[in-house]
Amino acid sequence: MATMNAVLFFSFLLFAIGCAGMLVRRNALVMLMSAELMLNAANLNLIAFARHSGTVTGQAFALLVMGFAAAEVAVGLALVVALYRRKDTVNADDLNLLKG
Amino acid sequence: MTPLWLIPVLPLLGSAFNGFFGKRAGKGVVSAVAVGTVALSFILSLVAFFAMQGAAGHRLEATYYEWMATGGLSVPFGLVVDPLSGTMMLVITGIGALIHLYSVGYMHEDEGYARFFCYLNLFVFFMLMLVMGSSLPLLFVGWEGVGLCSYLLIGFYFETDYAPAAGLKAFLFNRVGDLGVAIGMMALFGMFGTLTVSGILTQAGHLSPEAGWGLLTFATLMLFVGATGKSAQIPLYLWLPDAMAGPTPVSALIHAATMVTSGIYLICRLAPLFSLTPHTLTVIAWVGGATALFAATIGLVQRDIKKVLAYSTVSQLGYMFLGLGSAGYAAGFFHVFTHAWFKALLFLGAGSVIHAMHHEQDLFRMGGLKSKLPITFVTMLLATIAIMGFPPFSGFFSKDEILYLAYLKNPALWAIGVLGACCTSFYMWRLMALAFWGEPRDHHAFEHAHESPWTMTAPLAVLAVGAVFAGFWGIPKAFGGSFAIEGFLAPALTFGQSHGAHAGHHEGPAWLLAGISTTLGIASGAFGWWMYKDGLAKGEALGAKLPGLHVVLLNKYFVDEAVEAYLLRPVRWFGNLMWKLVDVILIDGIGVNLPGALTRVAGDFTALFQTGRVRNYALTMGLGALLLLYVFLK
Amino acid sequence: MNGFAAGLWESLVSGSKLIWPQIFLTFAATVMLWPADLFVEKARKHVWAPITMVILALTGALIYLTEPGVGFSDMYKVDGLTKGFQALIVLAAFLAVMLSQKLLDALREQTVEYYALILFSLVGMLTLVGATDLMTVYFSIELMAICIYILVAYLRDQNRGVEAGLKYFLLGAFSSGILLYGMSLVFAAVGGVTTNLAELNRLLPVVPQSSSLLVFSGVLMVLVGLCFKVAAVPFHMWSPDAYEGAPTPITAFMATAPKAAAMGAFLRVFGTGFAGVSSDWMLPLSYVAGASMILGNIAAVRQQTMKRLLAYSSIAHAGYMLLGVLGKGVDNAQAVWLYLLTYLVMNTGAFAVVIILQGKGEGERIDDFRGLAKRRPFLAFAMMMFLLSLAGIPPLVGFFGKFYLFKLAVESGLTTLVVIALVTSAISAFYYLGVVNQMYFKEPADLPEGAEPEVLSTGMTLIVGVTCVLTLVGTLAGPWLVNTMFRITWI
Repeated sequence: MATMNAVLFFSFLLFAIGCAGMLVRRNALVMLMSAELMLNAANLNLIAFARHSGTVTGQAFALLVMGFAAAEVAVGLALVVALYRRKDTVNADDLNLLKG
Repeated sequence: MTPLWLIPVLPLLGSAFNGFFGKRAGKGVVSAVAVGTVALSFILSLVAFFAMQGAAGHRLEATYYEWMATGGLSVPFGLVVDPLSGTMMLVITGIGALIHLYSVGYMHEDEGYARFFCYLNLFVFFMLMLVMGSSLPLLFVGWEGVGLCSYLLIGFYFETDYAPAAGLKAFLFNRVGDLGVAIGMMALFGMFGTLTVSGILTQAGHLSPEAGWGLLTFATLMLFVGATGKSAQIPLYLWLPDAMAGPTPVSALIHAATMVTSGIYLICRLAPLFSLTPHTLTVIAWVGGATALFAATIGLVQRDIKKVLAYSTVSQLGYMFLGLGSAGYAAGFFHVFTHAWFKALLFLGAGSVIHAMHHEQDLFRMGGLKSKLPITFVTMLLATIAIMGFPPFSGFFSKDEILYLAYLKNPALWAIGVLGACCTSFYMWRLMALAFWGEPRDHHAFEHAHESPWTMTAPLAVLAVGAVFAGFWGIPKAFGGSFAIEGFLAPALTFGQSHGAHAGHHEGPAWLLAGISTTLGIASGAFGWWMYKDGLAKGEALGAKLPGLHVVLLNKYFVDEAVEAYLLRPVRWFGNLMWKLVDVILIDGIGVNLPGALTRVAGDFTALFQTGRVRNYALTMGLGALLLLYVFLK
Repeated sequence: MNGFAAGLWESLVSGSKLIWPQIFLTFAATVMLWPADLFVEKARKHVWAPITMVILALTGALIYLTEPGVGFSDMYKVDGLTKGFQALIVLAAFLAVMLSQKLLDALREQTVEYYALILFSLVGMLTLVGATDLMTVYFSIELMAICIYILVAYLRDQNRGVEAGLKYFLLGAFSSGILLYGMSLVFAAVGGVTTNLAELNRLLPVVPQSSSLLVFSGVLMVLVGLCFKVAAVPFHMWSPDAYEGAPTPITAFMATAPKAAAMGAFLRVFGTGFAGVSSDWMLPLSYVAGASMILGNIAAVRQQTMKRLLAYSSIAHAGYMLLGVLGKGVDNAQAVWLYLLTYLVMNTGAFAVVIILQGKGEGERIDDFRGLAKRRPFLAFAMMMFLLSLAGIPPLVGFFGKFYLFKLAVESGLTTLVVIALVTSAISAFYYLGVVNQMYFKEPADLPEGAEPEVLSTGMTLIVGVTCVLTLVGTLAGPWLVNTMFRITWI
């Protein structure tokens, strides 16, 4: 079980870095990458535990997550480009029209 | 078998017609539809009423279909006519039809004519649903519906600043009460597993008297909170005086004769439950007594003719609750019945005066109208005599029975009631003297004053007959009568149960008590008349002698101001604070200012918090998740 | 053909019977995008709205015809819950498309992609309510969300639209990371053997003590992810902004369809998968529900625009609906369904009125409702009914839905929360009536002649009329509704 705890610890570290990136970075692109990091932390868990138990469920899950992550990035980049076109910036802090 | 559903549906159809086609149809058609549907309802109610008396158990019930049905709950969509709801139906449709007729004259020149009748008919519909509904949810539908109509009608003159505000105030105060009813309903459902009135009462019959502790007391208290909202009792009475911003026929129908008595109706409807909870009854008696006296004292000094009547209504409603609280359901309801006649009459009479004086409502600018408005004068005089409790007018019997029962419960309650009655007598005679006696104080308006058209005076005359004779339905036993109304209502009030509602043993110095209260009432009435019959001088002198009391009464004990200062302002302040907490502190504060401080402490951490909005949102989510984690691990 | 391939083929064929609605939608939307769109001139793109409505009607029929069953290795299941929520979602989409047509004309923004994206997002939602495996749950949520990100930012020439879309996207990505990580923790807690909900329900209560933190934090993170989708406090921050910036028909769509789908997933995941460990999530979720009711209703009081007001009110409504999740049990799920149905009716009506008055893509201020009763008596009346119904005043349908939900919650012992719900819904009357006050008791603002943009068409009138009638007399259909409701089950 010790190995599994190490996996969990490592994946939690990845997840925490991703979270921190979301909270700290202003650049929308970097925030996007941080979100991907969070997904990969989950993927690590899924694959490691699937391997541990000898089933394929988790591995299939992780594969599909990668596919979806790509789709998500495509849409995210499109939105960032739209923002850049209108405002000449990719700084998430400049999104300040809608509030209250 | 009478099609019971027609009785509420007719006014609804009238309302729909006037709402959709009223503007194009012209005033004649609108009036015919509005008055006609309610009058037809009245006739059908009469038929149903007599059919009910012949029916087994004095009860007609029609269930149309299963309205809501889940595993544990079945709420039929049904209507009931029994002595209690039957009497209310007659009052609503009968007095309602008269007031509709009166409105034809009163609202004649208003541009919102069709709108007015649309709302008024809708009100009659909801009020009928309230009294006829066979289950509490259906009753609650009517309960909320009349509140809505009341809101719309109070705010009817929306060109003014105060009318919409008054409407909103009424609605919000009522919502507090409605919350009580909703909670009470939930509690009753929890106890009995049903929400039909008959189901609840049948099961309540099997409860032992000791069951009156705990949940049942809580439920009845909550229902009483609802009743204080609708029926304007302390502490939720504040909306009713303001509600006078609505047109006068509305004040007569909704805020005197029918809607405001629905609190009393609710308690009578569930009388056997309340009989099981003596503590609730005591609360009801004291709240009612306190309101009766409190509102009457405020009425002593009001200048606006409708405000006097409004406080009078609050006070009279207090008497009704005093009667209920003394376990005299029949007596309380009897007062609802007599009060509907004379108070509707007083309001319509006041409306006639206001109409004649070109919308002048200030008593201090009236005077000497006796000769100009003879019919109004005579009918209002009869109503005044009835409300002051002069035998054998209607108010005497009902009020005396209540006071007598209050004496049996607690002599202090009787004393409060008598004191309130003296005030009632005083302010009513003051009103009459200021309006009809003395010299005219506004000569221009006086010159143009004229008696109202027949559509307005005819209802006055009919109501006057009721105000004089309605009391003979319940001549108390102490005066050799049989208190017939109690026997009549018994099937509905006791619901076939031995320990249901009966007024206790009649023993006590009935004649003496009646004598004292009547003598005092007449004396204070005469005093009021003498003070004001020649104008304002004597009254002002008296006011000058008691400046403190006068100011306090004139400002209605400063309750409105206190509510503003201690309730509304803190609520607004709190709302603002919440917004500031979330928006200013959480977003700008933690997000912007706090980092400012942190910068100085730990330079590189600046980036951690110096954020724009999206990241603040993310931060809130993260903090929220951590909080939930903490909640669990704690 | 070897045995494995044959087995796979067999399972696909038998499973595909369950997802005919999704297959049809995917196929139809794809054909719409290519090649059908090539044959539609630029000026005639508005024909896509009626075509989409026909597709949605056919999808509804397919949903009705689908036989209950389980397929795809127990990853997807058609039962009463699935079909009931799918019907709600398709109805919401239908109404949203109906609301869209004229507004997009007025904005000159008609494109096939708009309608195709609605259909694609629908595929995600329809799958989500039938998902019986964490994997299916995650993918269908993602499919639904990705399409909606684009729809929110659809008016890409407006700063507000882009801002709303990007904000929603960034926070959505964040929440989906949390959701997936939570799922992976749950997966880890049971030793990495399954993500199937029924299996999890069996395994989760018996995990060794050493893994209980994994179970709890995993379940909590899944809860956070789903709470984000239903916009419950404190994971609601995106919703007022996204609601305001999105095109109004999309706002109406977002307030109903994805919410219904996420509620369906909530009921399924927490009602069946995590039912065994309910002590882990009952307390946090009840905090979330209570906070949503309180904050949603309090924040709505100070709003200046109708869309934000409705956004906060929808946060509060999400709080009420969570009562049904907390109550567990099938009857609570039925009450949530009924609540969503009534909410769909009155909410769509209210948004229809906003769209009619709005015309241009800007947010409609509450001040603009001044004196509406004089200018447009019918609209004002309808709006009043919608608002009063949202406030839960009887006899309107909103009361009906609340009544059931609260009654069941009381029976499930959630007394404190029900009291909070009753008190906050009394508060809600305050801001709903504020709008009614504007419409009925204020003089109209001085508008220059012809300055008032209005989008009015037979379709819009029809929606307002029908929803208004349903709001008014919907409770009379109580017996029928309740009968239908009883078919919502997951057994």
